[in-house]
Amino acid sequence: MEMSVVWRRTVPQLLVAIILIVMTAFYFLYIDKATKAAIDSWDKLLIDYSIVIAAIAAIVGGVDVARYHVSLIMKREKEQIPFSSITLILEITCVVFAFYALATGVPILTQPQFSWIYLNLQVPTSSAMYSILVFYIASAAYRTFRARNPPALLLIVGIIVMLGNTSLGFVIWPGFAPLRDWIMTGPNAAGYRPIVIGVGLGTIILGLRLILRREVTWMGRRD
Amino acid sequence: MARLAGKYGARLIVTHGVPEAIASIEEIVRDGYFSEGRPELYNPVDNARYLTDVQFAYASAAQAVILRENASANIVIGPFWAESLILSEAGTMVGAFQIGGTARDVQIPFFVLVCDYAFIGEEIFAAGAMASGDAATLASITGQDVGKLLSIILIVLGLILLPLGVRLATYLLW
Repeated sequence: MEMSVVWRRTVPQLLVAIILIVMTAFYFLYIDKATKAAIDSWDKLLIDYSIVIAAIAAIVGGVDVARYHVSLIMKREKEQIPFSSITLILEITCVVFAFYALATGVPILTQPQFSWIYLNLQVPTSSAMYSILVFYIASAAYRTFRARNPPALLLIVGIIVMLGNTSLGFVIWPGFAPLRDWIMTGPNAAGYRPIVIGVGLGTIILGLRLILRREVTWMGRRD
Repeated sequence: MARLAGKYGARLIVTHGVPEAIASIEEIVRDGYFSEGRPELYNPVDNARYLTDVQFAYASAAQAVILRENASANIVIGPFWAESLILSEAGTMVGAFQIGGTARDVQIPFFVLVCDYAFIGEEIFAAGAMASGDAATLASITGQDVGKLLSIILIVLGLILLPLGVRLATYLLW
């Protein structure tokens, strides 16, 4: 076997398999206190490594974002230039805050300028995106709940659950709430549990495939 | 997907929000185009785009990609939360053919409602094995089905024994 294949395929596969076996053993088996204390220090070390890797990966991510938006500006795509410029300006601003934090020792999260950007730009825009969901749910529900053949069972069940969740439903007929509870705890739970069992089994089989080195799609190349 | 895109000369755009995965995603997409003999179609800046790791910022950016690029197909598979409907509704807006799938039970209904095809729960794990075409990997799906059959037998047995005063679950815990 070529050495490059060993580094590219075998080593990552073995690492994943070993970590999976250790994690599974810790979850299911009794480990005495002395062994647990010894392995806990290794566990902490691995977590520290992952934090360092994530921090460095964030820099790579920032470079990736900048590279993409610079390429759009270079292409002179008129519609995209304002958005890409704003993204780049904000990214550079955050980098300046990070260097300021390094120079002064004031953590970036406690800097008032950073807090201002976070509270006045990121929080409202995230909230706006979340609120847009209401309209998407309405449009998806409209398409789904249209009365069609065969008899629109979804429409009927949907209306009952919606009315059961609102005070208007109670005013129309007090029985909507208990009926909604029965639908949610009966047919709905019966429908969900097989899915949950299936996901559990699927995860176990996926884990087995990873331990046995049969799952290779996450690495790309199959050679 | 990358191999199919390479095979048919299609433009594949992979958006993601995990900076640790940038290198591997670029590698997978590159491999797809190269292995199908179309290296000229691969452009890492365009084909694999890291957007952000913030949930709704990612949803917003991915939605913009779908709308601005006028995607003809939208494949949304993975551990999604509220962004599942945002992404799939964006696909609906541009009339894209859509495949969705997640193992998160509360998000499955959204994909079932909006997408043309939806992977429900464990099907996303099975899809990976099916795509590999490897006999041993495919056999693991059969193992999964045996597990499901065993679960069904235990549930039915538990239901039969419960009226007789026997709680099967207590015997299964050791």
